[in-house]
Amino acid sequence: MVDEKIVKFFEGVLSKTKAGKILWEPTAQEATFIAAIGGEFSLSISSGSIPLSAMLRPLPQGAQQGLYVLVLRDLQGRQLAAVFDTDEGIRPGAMRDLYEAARWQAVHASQRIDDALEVLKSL
Amino acid sequence: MFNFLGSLASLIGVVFSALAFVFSKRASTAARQARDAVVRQSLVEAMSRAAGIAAEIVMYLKTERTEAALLRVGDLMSHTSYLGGRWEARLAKKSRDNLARAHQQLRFMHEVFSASRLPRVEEAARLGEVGQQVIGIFSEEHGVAIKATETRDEPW
Repeated sequence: MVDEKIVKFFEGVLSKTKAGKILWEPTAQEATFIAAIGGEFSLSISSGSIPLSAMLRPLPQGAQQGLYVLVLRDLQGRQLAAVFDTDEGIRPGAMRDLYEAARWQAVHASQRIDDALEVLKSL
Repeated sequence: MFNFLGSLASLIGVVFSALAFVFSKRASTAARQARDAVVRQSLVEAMSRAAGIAAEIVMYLKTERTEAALLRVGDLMSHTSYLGGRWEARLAKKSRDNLARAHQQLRFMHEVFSASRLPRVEEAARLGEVGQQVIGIFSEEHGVAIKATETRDEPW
């Protein structure tokens, strides 16, 4: 059964991330990025091996390598929701889009590529 | 004559009541300010403690004392949860966001440390960067809390 609230939450995070309204940052885990929102919640998105901290519920059917998970927590760090890319209602590829958008922003990829282009010009 | 004395007594009564009201108001304001000062000082101490633990974590990382670092990461996660719970209603949005960021960063540091192996070189470098970031967060919040005690502004 599709959890419409979860889908709406995911789509909201995706659209706000693409609009640059959510500030993602890197973590000690290479494939995990975090953000705080509204002074009340924090988000994390991970790719590949799922962080232990996201394992509040069993992995969904069909979960495999390359899985993405978006986790919502409250200010005390309590997990409120975890959305997997294999969850019903999540558009195929949409979670990957979110992960890539978060990663792009967190590592300042745009700026770094500009820098790299400058270096290339000077070669 | 009695009318005049009665009116005078009433007037004096009104004046004394007004004075009593003013003094009780002042006493209540002073009590509230004293309580706020204690609360602010308590926040300063809590943030100072957090910044101190964060600095310890980075020191353990630099000296490759992984187990000690893991323990202190756990301590700081608990302390950050306490800060969030204790001060949630009073902290500014930016400070609450900072606490949430710190808690998340510590969580993923904890997971890296908890893996049953030593952190790889690139992981150790990331741990160091994140550790410095956590120090920065708590130092900033410590500064905000101190400023609030000095200016008597609400940091929240």
